[in-house]
Amino acid sequence: MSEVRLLEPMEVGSLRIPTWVQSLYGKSPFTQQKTDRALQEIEIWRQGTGLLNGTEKLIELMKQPEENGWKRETLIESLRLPIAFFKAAGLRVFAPSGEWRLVSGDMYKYEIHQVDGIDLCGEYTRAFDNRIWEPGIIKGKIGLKTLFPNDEVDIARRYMAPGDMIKFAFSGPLTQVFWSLNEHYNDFREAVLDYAEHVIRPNIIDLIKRGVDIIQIDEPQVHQLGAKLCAEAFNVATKGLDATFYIHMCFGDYKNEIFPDIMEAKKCDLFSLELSNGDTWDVAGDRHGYEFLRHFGEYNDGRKIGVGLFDIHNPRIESIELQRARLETAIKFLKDPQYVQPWPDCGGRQLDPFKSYLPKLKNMVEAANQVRQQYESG
Amino acid sequence: MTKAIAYVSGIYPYSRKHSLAARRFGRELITKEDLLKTKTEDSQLFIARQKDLGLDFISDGQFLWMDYARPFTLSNKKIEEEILEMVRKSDTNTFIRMPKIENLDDLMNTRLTDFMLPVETENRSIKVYGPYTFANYSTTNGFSLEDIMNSYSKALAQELETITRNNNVRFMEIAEPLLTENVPGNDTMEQEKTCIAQITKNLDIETNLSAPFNSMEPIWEKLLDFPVKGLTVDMRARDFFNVIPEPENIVDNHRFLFDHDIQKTLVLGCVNGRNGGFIPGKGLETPEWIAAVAGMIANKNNLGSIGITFSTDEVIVPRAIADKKLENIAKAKSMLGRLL
Repeated sequence: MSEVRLLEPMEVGSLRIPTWVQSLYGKSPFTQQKTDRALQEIEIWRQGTGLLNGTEKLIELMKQPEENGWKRETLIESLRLPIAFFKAAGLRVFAPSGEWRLVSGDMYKYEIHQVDGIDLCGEYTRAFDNRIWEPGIIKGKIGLKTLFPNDEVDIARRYMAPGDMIKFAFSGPLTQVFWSLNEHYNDFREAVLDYAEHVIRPNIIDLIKRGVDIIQIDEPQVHQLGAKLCAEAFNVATKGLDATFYIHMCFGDYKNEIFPDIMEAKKCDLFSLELSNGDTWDVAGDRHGYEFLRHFGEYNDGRKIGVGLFDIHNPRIESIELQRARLETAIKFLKDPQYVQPWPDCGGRQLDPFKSYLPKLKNMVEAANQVRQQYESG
Repeated sequence: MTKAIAYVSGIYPYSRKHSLAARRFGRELITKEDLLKTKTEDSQLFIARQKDLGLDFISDGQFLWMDYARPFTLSNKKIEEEILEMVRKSDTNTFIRMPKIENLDDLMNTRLTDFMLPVETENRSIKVYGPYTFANYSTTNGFSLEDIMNSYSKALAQELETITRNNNVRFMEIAEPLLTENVPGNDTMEQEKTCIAQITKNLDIETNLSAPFNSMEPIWEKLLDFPVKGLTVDMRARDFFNVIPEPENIVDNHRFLFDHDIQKTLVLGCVNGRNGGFIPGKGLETPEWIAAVAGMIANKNNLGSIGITFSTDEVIVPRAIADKKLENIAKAKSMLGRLL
């Protein structure tokens, strides 16, 4: 069984999906125009990831669209590409598909497809700038319609190399409920705990059976909504289960609003935090974006921080030197490299995969390698 | 007799077509010009809808504003928009990019006309951040909060003169969410009042101040003396999730509105701008519910005019829901007119 190394770099879980993959989710016919576009984009992915062999079947499928089962077979075959992407970055721990999933949707929507009591509203709302997402409406008691299509884990395993590890990310109960528009519950906590118990927990059990190495709960909305409730929901979802669990959080006042309450999520081995967003771009800067880590040391009971080393809302690429300076600062503040893992601030869905996200990831991996060598060489 | 008004101001949700165009623009599949065309068309539809509903002030949707600080943020021509730090707006899933102030004089280069969509309408409305919120969101090396508030107010006052003259702007709402999220001390509150006076002194338009996302009660008495013609109250301030409360309960939770005489237009942000759905009485405020809330408050106060609008400074429910809520706001205004 593989182990997480010292300063093992990881990614958060999302990756922008090409338009031809979006078309595979849709019900409309796959026209010649779509085929031509898909073949062009597949070539970009082949070149970008270096996956020059192993895509022959995908290309053949793409050239001959059919009716029954063709889209799913093509989708399954295409899942080689996100894995090749993460491998090209130099990662060995990553999400099975980076949201390039067997059903459509971002971190929020993907889950809602399988949830009873919440219906997608078919309309969009804005998150920032020109970025949009589609919320659902809570119309009844939250439950599970069907398990998530977790067989993507088994598919991913076929495409991965020995020693690679799967980290599966869920969007957490607090976040999923908060991002939904409510027409049913009078109590936020009740809705959150229903989601934790009836939606997340059965899926965690299924993933453990499938041998997933790490299970991550994403709670970007913990900020201001209560780390205590977040921890309570996490505990409901993971009670009595034996696995490695992480929580990812972004955009919070970690010192005043999230920690130490979130430490009540006792089975959580690592907290992944967005930190570079508030830091300077100057390599020799004062690293004020990482100040919180000084405080974490005061109550750390042996758990790790996934330290956000690069920004995912910004296409500009952080150099190896900048990411290394940030990583070294994190180690200094946490006093021991065993408590530190190099991460991005958040998922890469907002970034162009090859112009921006991959170079950022590569620089993160190289920064981690350089710093790890220092410790390994004594 | 109390006059009733109804409107929506500020950034409005994008239509489905507009949303998908925005996504395609982000993926570099369409040009900036293509997106502007879609934004303009959406704005024209939205304006026509507001006119049909008989709303008192008309917004272009502020579809060119990525946040209320952005026109001022971009006054610094050296800034790369996408590298600016992002901060969550209160407890929502929307974000703003924090202005980076390197030179206070840069703020005078702001051109709000560049952010007005090329659409024709009378009684146009605009929403801007107030000086306190803008200054608090700003990152700076060395400038004090007061310095930024003063410079921002001067720049805003300059630009308001232009857009009231050239763009038919007749209503401005100053959004100050941080006044209630991070309540300032007395000195800063006085400074804020002075800044608001500078912004509004030469304006012959309707001016409102709002402080959404938290209760206005701690600052209510002070705001009553502010040099604006109206105050907008977020009546759903911490109500980010629950289904619609009974009218009596929501009014009872805002008893502070009855503690002092109000010599301004009182605008009730009683329609949830960040939650709700399509089911009347569950997620969707009915005209009867809105009118009942407004009627109870109007009857307990001796008001010259009362308004109804959304609770938040930006409507962040999807467009179809927002449109339905807006329709009910307009219907409620008619009902309220008969009640008062």
